[in-house]
Amino acid sequence: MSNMIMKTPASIDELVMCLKQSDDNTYLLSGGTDLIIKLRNSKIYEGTLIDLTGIDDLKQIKYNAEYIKIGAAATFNQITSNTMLIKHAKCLVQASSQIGSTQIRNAATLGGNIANAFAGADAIPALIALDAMVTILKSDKTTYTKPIDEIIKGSRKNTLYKDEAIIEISIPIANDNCISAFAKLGSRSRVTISKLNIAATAQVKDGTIEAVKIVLGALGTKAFRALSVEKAIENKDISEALYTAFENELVKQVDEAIPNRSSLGYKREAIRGLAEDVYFDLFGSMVRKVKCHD
Amino acid sequence: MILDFNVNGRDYSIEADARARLIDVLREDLGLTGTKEGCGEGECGACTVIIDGLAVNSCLVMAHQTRGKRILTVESLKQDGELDSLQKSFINNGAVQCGYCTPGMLMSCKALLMRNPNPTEHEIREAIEGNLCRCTGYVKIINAVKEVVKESKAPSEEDHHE
Amino acid sequence: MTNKLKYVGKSVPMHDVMDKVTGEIKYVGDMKLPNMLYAKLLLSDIAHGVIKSIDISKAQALKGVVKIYTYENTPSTSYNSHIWYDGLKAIEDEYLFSKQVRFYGDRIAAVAAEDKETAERAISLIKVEYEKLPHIISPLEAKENPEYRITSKEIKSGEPENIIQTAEIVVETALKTQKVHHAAMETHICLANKELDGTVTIWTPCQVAFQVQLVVCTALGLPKDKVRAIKAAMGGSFGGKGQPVLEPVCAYMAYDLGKPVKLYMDRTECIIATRTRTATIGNVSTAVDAEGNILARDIKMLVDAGAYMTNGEAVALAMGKKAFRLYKIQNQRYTAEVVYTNTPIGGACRGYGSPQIHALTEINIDAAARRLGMDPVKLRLKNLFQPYDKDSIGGPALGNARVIQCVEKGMEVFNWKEKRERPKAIGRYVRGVGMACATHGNGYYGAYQDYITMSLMMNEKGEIILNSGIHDLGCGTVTTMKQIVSEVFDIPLDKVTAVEGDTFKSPFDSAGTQASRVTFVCGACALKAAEQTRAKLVHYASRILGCAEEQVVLENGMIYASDQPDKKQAYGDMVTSIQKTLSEKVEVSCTYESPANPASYAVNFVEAEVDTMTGMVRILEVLAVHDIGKAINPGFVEGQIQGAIQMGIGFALSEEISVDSGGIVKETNLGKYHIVNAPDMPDVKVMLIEEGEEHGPYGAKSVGEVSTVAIAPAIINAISNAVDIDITALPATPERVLEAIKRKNIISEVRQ
Repeated sequence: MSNMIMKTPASIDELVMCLKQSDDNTYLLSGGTDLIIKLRNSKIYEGTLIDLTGIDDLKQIKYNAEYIKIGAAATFNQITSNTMLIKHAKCLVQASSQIGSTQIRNAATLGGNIANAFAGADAIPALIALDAMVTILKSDKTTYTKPIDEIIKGSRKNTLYKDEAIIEISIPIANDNCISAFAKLGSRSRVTISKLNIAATAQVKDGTIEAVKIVLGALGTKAFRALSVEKAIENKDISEALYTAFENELVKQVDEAIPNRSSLGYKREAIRGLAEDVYFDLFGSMVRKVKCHD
Repeated sequence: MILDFNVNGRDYSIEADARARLIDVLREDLGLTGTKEGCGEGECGACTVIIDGLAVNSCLVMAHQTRGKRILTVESLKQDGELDSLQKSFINNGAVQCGYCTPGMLMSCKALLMRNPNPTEHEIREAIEGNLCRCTGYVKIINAVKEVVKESKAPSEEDHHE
Repeated sequence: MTNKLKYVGKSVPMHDVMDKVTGEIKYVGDMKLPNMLYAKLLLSDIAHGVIKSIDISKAQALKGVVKIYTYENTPSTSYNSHIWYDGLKAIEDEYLFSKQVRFYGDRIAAVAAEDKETAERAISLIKVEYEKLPHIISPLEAKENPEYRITSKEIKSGEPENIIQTAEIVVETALKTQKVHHAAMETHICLANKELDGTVTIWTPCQVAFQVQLVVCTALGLPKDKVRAIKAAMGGSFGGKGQPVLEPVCAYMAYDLGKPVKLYMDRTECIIATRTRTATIGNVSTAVDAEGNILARDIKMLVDAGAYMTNGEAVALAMGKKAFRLYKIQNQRYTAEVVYTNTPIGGACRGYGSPQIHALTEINIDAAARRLGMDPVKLRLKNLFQPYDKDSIGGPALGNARVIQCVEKGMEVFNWKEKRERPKAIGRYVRGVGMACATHGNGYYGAYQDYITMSLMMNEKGEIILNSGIHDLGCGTVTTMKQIVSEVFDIPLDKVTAVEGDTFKSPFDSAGTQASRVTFVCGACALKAAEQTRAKLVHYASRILGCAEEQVVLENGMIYASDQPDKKQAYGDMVTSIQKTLSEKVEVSCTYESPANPASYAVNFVEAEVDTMTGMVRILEVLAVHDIGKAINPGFVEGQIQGAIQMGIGFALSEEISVDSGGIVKETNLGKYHIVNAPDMPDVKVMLIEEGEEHGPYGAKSVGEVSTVAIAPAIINAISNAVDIDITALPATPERVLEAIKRKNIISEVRQ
């Protein structure tokens, strides 16, 4: 028998009560797909687990005129089948459908993925590209909301205090011109940890790219916006030449992100494959695909 | 800590450690050893069970997270002495060798068919993407599922096509 | 075999498949004995050093901990887990527990506790202080260090050196092959108990029960009549459970405590601390003439045994011999150097060296064809062995070697010429086709003792019990034996029971389930035992029936005299009469010694697609053609081949156990160690050439190992065909493929 306790709040109010008693040995348990491995590998036999999956409110995906609101304990399986998300947050749906296996997607949650802050996480670049906001509940029952990028500090590090819990992720509903895409590269075609991933959102008006966001993951300790890449294609007309600029700028971005890593040699080349995947996924219908390699 | 849940149609109320995973409780406390552990990290799928209709790795779920839920393990497939059509098809298609991945493989396939009785080959492959098998190369497993799908289609529907 | 076969050649289900689909089968992990203790190992977290101190006080204080074992309180008899029969000599460098740490994963301690969690927890509380020593992880470095050099081997025919020196065309290939994890879904586990009479009983998913007994006896200093090894349900092995890893430790704890002890490993432990496919660094030089005749070949292999000897020497020899059994090469030399490194231990792994050497030589054959501008199939057809050709170093006869037929039929079915000549796509995804040939053996004849004893008995109900030390590893061995026996007696399979290895109950088997010997050797023994028992039944029946032996007819479970077809009686009734009237039993015990070791052949054709931007390779299609002699159970054979292709794709593209500069294993779980999953697995078409082999039962020969040999070089050849690159190390990861493409592009730019 371990010296572990599990608390099973059924409502936000009960969760607040649990958070009030949080200490350094308190772990928020959501889908469990990362935490349970950690408890075992790190030989953690003492402490308190707070199970978030019993709170119905946290498992809903709702929307209003401005936001799609994803409960922190909604699973990736729920995300991939949600029609609102398919319409307004394609890159998140694409990323979610490529996370782990069927079994993992049935358990793992968006809130858990954010809190875990893994550098190679697939959902996080998509959320950054979508300007997602994260709502956090404090033990005094108040909440605050921050952009996703500000929650994640680095590899396996987030800004949450012990007595706080992510409860909701809000994705602004952009206009109908907004498009998005996600692509990843791992060691297998499926069930694989990203060596590289990329999420992009853009608005296209009369063949011109506007308001573009390009986010790279699995390069360094946290996903980041590739500003120079965005600059290279923003307010430009979609064309093959632009694709080349996009690709080359991405290579530069990889060079800058991981100058001393042994994986640089591969990643700076392979990013071209992802560049093609994402560019043509986004703008494919607007550009003739004739790129050759011979 | 008491855990109330339903496994294979039977209600249980048992004492379970807070740190116990679902697989631990199934195997150690309920004696349902059909569910296997092959990696303990959700990579091999040998521990797959169905929770409220969804395939899940029982090594990555805490036992107490399944309170109030309905769990199906491989032991549930045979009903009143009759094998499930998937089990029969696995036998007929030679989809079983050492048998260690088989329970998890069956439960992943079962979960698929429960939600989608008419999956494509692509969907079958994706449903078992998290179930590793070293013996069969998956070929006969995929064939076995395809056969169940084919046979479950109403004969009239088949006739219309032919 | 002109008679129509009724049971042999049929794809009947495996004997225990019902227990497997219902989850009712009990693997060792599912077994529980009263008062059973659970045990875990502490493995070293450094690659090389000496233990200065072990502090077990905190672990010992944990409630539920029964006893902690280290080198300080256990026997220090050295042994070699590879030794499978008395009299086999090999360097004995293993111990129950180490003081000298030789790799990351070496056994330091074990805890026996009342429950799993306590055992696991106690392990984390043991504190070990090491004096670190410099470690060697590179076999090339090890070769230069006398303490790491083990032995060298040479096999030679003719004068290859001179020919290679003077030949106009010499094609050289270098290839590094990696350590591979067997990745059986069941991790290593063992259960042992001390009986009241002092006997230690061991239940283990093993390949050679008599080897378990022998190794445990050696390590523990116990007589053989006090150690009983029972083969338990096997959740996959592929060679990984061939050498006893946990058994000696588990048996010692049970012996010492007088209680049942279950010792189990998790996946990480299984990857780093059991056995791996032996890594190699190979170089080959092949002299060919302009017409594509192979004039001479020189193969050099550096064999990395890892931290302990185990089968390092045996595998080096085994792989060398294969080079002389595929192509007619009169002048050929194979040399091997075997070294230790401070890395995970090498051992038996499906193919036993064949995948490594064939990867090298079959990639080289394609390179030679490229040099000559010749279709690689044509080059092979010119040089492959014909049926009944002789092994060029005087090894066992090749027998009815049908590799050429495999190539020719395969070419046709695969549509080789059209696919090969198809213009290459211009763009990101480029497809290519490749093929490779391979050979493997059928047992130990010519190398080690190879015989088995079986006893077969028909009872008063007409049921048959075949008692022998066989081991079903999930491949269908039991059913295969039953099919053979059923065929002889013309009775349904459910009337035949074939039991598995138990060193106290099974007649002796000299080698167990290894070396691709089971169907060919053990199956032949089952056939012999069945035929002898049948003859006995016929003999006694003729006396009961009052007819000549030639007149006795056995048909579908009924026996009668040919001139009295209306007086049929069931076998069981006849057995009852024989017992009653003649006081005889219809029972035979017979020993069968294998008289041959013919070659089995596999030819694989592959279509692959290379993503030239990411280096990812996708296998689109595989055709595996096998010279199988005769498939006793075609469904099993297909299953073997399809699974072997899965393993071979991993060997070619993604699977690798590697260590960092500190000797620490990098791929410690299945998230990092990538075996092929369903979305990436191609359809595998299987084609069997069944031309019969003289000494095989019903003409059968092996398939289990040869099936995983040709696939990796076929894939590498397909990649080369697609994008014209040289792969010099396996696995051909996206990183390596992309680097090779880049290198080629730089070279071609320089040339332009």
